Amino acid sequence: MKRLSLLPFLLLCACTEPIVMDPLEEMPVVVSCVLSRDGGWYEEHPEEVRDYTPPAQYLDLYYAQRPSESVRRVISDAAVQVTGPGGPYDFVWNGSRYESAFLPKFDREYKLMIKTADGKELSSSMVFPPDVRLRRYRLIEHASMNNFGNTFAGYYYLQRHYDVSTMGCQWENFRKECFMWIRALENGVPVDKICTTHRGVDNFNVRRDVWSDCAVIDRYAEQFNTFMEMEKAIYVDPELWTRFSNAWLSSPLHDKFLRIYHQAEYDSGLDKPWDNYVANDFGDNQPAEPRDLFVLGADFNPSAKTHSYVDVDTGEKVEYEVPWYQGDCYEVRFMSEAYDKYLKAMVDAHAIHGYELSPVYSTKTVYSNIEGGLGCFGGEWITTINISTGY
Amino acid sequence: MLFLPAFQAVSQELPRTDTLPPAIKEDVRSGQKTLSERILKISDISVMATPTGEADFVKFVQTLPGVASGSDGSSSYYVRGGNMGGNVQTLDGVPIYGTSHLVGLTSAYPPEVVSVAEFQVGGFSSEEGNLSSSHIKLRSKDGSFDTFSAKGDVSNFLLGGYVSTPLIENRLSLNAAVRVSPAGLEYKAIKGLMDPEAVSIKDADAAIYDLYAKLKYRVDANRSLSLTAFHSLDKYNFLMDSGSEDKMTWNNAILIAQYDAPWRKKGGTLGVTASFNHYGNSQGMIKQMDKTSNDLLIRSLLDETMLHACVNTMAGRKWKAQYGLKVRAARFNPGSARVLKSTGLFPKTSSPLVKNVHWNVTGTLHGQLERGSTERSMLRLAGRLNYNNASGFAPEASVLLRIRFFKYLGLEATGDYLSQFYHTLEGIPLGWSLDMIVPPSKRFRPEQTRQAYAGLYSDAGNHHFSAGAYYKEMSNLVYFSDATKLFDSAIAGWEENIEVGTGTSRGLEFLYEKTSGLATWRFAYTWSKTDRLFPNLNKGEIFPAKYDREHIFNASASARVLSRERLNVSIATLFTYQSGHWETVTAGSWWDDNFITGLVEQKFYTSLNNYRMPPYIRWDISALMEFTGRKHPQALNIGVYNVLNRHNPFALSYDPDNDQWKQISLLPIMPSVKYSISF
Repeated sequence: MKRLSLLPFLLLCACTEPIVMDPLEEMPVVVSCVLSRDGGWYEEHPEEVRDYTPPAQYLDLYYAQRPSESVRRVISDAAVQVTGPGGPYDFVWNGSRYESAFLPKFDREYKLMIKTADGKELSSSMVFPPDVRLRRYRLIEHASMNNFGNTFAGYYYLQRHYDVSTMGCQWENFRKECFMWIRALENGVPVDKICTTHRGVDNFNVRRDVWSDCAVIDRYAEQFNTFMEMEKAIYVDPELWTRFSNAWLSSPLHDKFLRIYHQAEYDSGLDKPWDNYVANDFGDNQPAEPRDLFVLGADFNPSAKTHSYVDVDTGEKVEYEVPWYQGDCYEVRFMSEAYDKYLKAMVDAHAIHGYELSPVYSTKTVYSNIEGGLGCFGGEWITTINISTGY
Repeated sequence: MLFLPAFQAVSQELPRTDTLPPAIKEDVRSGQKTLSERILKISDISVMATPTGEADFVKFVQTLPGVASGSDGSSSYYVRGGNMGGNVQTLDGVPIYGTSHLVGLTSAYPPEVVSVAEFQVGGFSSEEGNLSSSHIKLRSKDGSFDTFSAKGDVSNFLLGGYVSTPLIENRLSLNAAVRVSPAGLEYKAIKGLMDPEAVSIKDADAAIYDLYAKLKYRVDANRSLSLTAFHSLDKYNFLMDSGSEDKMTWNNAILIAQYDAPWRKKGGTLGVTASFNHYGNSQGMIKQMDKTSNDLLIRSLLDETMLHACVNTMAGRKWKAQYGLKVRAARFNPGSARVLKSTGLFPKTSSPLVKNVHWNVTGTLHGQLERGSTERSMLRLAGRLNYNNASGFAPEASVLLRIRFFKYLGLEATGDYLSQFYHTLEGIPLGWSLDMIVPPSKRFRPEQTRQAYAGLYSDAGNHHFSAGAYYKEMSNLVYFSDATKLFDSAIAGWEENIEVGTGTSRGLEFLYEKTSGLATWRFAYTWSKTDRLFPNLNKGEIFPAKYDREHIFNASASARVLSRERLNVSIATLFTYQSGHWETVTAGSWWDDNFITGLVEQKFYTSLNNYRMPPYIRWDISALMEFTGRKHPQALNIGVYNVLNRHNPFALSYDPDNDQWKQISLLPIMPSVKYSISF
């Protein structure tokens, strides 16, 4: 078919009218369920926590919409059950969606079974993410000229989460395959630029700029000398610092998030012993093997943080600066493999490919792990790492 | 009434010593030659109503049994379930690859330069291969060796001039034609009248023309040498209000040298043809998307040199024989490109256009034996042995058997085993319609077709009936599997996104026509079912072919209503009903809310070609007034295309702002006028 626009004279005669192209197929059922738990002290032994309330788990169930339909047809009379450790768990309709309450166990398989009133059966299964979390080993701060640190990079490594039932804390480096989606949040809002040296990072959302383009990096050498941490780095291992600066400063920035596939035998390529360095969190000495380390960094608001309020008495606008260490953190989500695939497919489908008709040209449906339907049954564990240099 | 057809096997000419005075010439009668072959002449098509007012052989072909039309008004046609790329149009044995003007509304060559056209759909003769569906054989007219004549005409979108003249009386003649479209000027003239809100074009330019010339030199009474040149161009450039720019161009440049001479003493003829054939097309789009300038391009270039020697002679008393050798050397350079200039967040890698030259050589030995005649019984056996440097040997065979049982009843059967070397890619993104012609390779073998047809026919005076059935299998069909990757692929990547599959088609064909007298009419009906199967597409399940039109009905009639010494008036009408074609559309959608994209609508697809468009219905009427008996005869053809003003789909367009599909109907009720004057 030739394009209409190729014969302008005929435009006078041509007409364009909306057409609703409803295929005749029956609409499939869509399932959306992500079992979730977030970071906290009660993970493994909730019974030790007084008045523990297991987190709510939600499931949405509805028919896909035809092009001519504008209202979603929700299914409210289905039998929904998840089986797994401590289960089975029945989901109950709460007026808008299905709800249950339980704490998913790490590294365990969960199965979803749905049976609708009209006899449709859907099923799925997934393995909840493993019990690892990201720990910061060393924080490197890149300060602005006015001494308000806005841009941070730090060495991080994966570690098994600690067992609160043990006196004190036992740190254990733990190598497991996992899928991580990482965002840098400033007061809950994702920052635009985030970066990593992890070799498993997905570069599909790489920006045009690099770490050294961040506004506060331009005179890093002078700034860094003002901080003891970097003096130590330079003193102890000038070669490490050279390798760090050359590689890190030219690292590409990603837009708003990182998707990382971490293999169990991850090797960062670093080989210097770092026994002299300690993790600042909790004041414990915990060495980490260099091969486990990777750098994670984000640009938390390149300009000086200023906020303002209106003084109720004078009616004047007052500006103040928020201490930089408040409200900045990394949100790290460990995901089941199916949810990772599904989310990647979603992001791909809605990224801008450069020409307006890409969603039209593509005739592929996004990934789904629902047998007999569409959507996703997945799991995620949400953790956060606060940005702090300890003062 | 006696039926005395004067059909002549135009593919097998025997030399004749011209003892007749120059004023008396043999002629070929148009009409159905066999159930699989039809002769067409300009008188058959000159009275038809067409969108442009120009006579067009393809528009006539689209009304025959077994033929499905493409989009409204276009020159695309699909024969017995094959692809458009399976059809070949040749001019004196040389393929024309870019066959249309004006976005498919008319053919690229002026029909006035054609003396006779033959349309074959089965039982193919041996001299032409590299096809899998049909062959429109165009034979050009020679210029007059003794009389000067010229003609000029003007229609909706074309201005034409023709001249036929002796350059050296009885020795050297010239037949030439030129057509130019003033579409670009027409646009500029009416631009000020158009509502800027209704039309999104900021500026536009177009260049459309074709040039033709044939020199014929009579060496002696039996030998001749001819030199033909043909060039056509379509070029369009549009600047849209949105800032994007669309451009499209395609062109042909063909040179043909032919030598005809007698062959030995048995009354045979030898024809030697050397030709050079250039075809190029490109379609580009510059779009601004999210701070990124995307310069997208699809291009296809083909340069083909051919040498063909063909002998037609008698083999014994009753058998006619044809044999020959043809060598084609073709240079392909297809590709796509995407060049990005971005200030946005996603620095996609540009994929610029680079040379992607493939050389392809095909040698063909062909032969044919034929006995009998179409009005009695006939047998034709044809074969080709091909060798292609990329894909190796590929034999072909065709058979046509025609038996008249009784005076008014006969049986015809054909069988074909065909190989087509050049692939035309399907599946190119919606809105990108230029064909990308690519060569065969060890991975993309020549398309192969196996088809069989059997039918009964009856001739009762001027009335002809036929009813038949066909079955066709196709293999090594190619399909561009992921349209979104067309521009992201590296230049060589077009091969990485091609799927290979098969197709089947079966159908019933009915034809009734009255072919002579003051009034003629024709009714043609086809029922068919055409599928495709690609193991890696559509979950490996069968899906309908895009132009699988289940029911096709065409009814046409023409009549001479006035015949005077100085004025003849003929009227004609055509009604067509065709089942809608298939499109791939979103089956549905759902809403997903996640921490990365937020709330988004996600579409899903169930199968390829899952939606049948509304039926295609059209009624045309026309009148031809011939002012004869004057010093300068004139003709006026007035027609109305699509009298019912039905909004048949020409194209689909997606409006991303409103998330809505729109059907574009290019040809509502459309008057056409063509005036010509002869000198």
